[in-house]
Amino acid sequence: MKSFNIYYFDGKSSKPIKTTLELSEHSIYISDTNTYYEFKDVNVGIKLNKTPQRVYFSDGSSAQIEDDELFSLPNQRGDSFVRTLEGKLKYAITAFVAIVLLAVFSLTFGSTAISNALADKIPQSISNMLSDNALRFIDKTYLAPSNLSESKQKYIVDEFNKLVTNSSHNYTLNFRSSTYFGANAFALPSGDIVLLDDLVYMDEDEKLRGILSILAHEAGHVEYNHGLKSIIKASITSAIIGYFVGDFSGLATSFATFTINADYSRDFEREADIYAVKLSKENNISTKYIADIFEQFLDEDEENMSFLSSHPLTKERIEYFRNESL
Amino acid sequence: MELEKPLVQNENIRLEFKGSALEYFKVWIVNILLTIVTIGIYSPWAKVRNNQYLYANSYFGNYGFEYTANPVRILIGRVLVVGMYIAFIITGDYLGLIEVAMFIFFAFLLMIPWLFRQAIAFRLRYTSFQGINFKFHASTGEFYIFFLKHAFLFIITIGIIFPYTHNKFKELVINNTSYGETFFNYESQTGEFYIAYLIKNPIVMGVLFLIFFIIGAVVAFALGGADYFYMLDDTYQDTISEEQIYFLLGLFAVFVYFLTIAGTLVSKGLMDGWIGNIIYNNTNIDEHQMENSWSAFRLAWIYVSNFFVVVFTLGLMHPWAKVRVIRYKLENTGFVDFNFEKFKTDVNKDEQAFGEESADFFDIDVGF
Repeated sequence: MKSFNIYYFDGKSSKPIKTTLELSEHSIYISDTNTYYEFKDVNVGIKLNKTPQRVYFSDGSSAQIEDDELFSLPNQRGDSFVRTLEGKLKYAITAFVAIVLLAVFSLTFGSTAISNALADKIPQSISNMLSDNALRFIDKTYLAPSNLSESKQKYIVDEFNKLVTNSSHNYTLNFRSSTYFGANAFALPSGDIVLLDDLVYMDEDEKLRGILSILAHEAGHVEYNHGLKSIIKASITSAIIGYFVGDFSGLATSFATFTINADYSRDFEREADIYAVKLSKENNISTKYIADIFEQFLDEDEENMSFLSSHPLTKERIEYFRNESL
Repeated sequence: MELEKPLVQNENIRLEFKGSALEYFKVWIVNILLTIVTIGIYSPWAKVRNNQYLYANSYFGNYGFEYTANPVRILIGRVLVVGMYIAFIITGDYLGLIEVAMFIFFAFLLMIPWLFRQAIAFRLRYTSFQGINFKFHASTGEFYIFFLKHAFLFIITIGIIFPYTHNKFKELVINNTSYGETFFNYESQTGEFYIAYLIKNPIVMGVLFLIFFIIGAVVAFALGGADYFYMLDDTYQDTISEEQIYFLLGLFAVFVYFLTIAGTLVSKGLMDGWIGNIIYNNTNIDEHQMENSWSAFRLAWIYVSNFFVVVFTLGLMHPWAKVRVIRYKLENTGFVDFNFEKFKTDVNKDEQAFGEESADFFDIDVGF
């Protein structure tokens, strides 16, 4: 038997009654009103540090515990875990440090690991549907039909198919022109690769070996599923930032927007470059030509560097292609 | 009963905040961590604990308020809204089903009056004082009529109706609020709202802007004027590089960004102060007149300084800022006189905090 000093409110009037509450093994007794409550009719309010605690009864009445002592029913742990954490400054500081570490971790390693794991689990059918929708949107908004001759298109398709003949993916080359993007190429997770005329014009080799290496690079993005990995990571990152900052508008980045921005990480570009070199070598295509195209981008004004805008280490990459072309 | 002379009848009773920023910080930060590690599922429990700390330490007379909401009900509301948002994003952005996304968007728009009523009713139902709950009596229908009517008026008056709308909304909310069975009564003050919106606020903001502009111009001329003339001189052309110009432009953009936020907060603080005084000085409950003495300038200062303190401590001082606002507002709000013990509620037609039978499940923070 335990006794508490309380203010009792009958729930019908705002008049407080100063009385005592007796807590026994099986029930609660309020002295003033001479009432017993079984534990099933009792709801114990939360205890927050020095704030007075409340106990609610099923008939609408309630009690405010006046003693600064925890009130809890026998065999009920309730919120003791949270209460312990809230009670001490050292836990608060620990929580703060943990939040900062969690934020940093989830924005770096965490989101990378999750997106890599998730991306490969997404069925091809869904990935195809996403890609088709994105391509339709980009087509409608930014792209125009290609002006390349039929024979040139056929030549590129045939040569490209030779490159990816051993791949398990089905690739589709889409020839387009675009005043908006200029010289550019991008790949969708479905294996659709969009090649823009202006990029083709930049290749001074009559066999278009630079273009073929660039297509091999894009195929690398498809092969390693970089598109899905990147967009999942971007979604996770903006969700996390939204969580901390309270602004979720970043989440509404569409798949199409992402595809055209092709904002791959440096690691993904490197992986795709290595893949491009491998395919090129297997087909006796010198990577000298892709290096030549990259060099033209470097020489151009920064604003026109659309294809390389997300490729920060262009010089390093040119060097890599030159070394591999020997 | 009515014949009994009330025992507690003081003069000029103010509300009071008895909590501390540090105590609130401890509750707040621990609950954020728990929310994070449970990917948000714990957030309603966190909300209840945070609110209960703030409510329970908000005293009027000898007792604090209570926030008695059931976290599970808050969770249902959040799942509903988050679910709609996810459905909107997936259909619109990922699947390209624009029609479906638009349908979800309009469904949400249509829900807004209901959500507002739901949130207000929820908050009041789960607020109690001296063992008696607050209640909200306006129907969902009244909210729809209000929103439709004022949306229409807003369009045909190109927005000039807004102060009237604001005032009418406060009237709708306050006059439908009861403590137990006793209703609050707000004497609508449309004229005062227009004075605050169209005269006081533009004048003060205009004067502040002018003062700021003059100070800025003087400082810029004193500090930068000489340098600027040097820059024009050919011999000094090389001293300022392109990067430096971009850096200065960037700095200027950041400055303008923060200045815009500060301006918005000053305006909000002023309006909160003026409007708060208009409302509460014209509100009573059963002949107990409320009395509000918020200083609009003081509130503006509190909002602006809070913002910078919170931003520059990366959110760490949020509890301090919150407690500061609550303390100021409560300690300058009260009643001319108050009888704490005479309020009644009809238990039979009222669902108590303990009851699970209520259909309310929504608690968002809408300003009311």
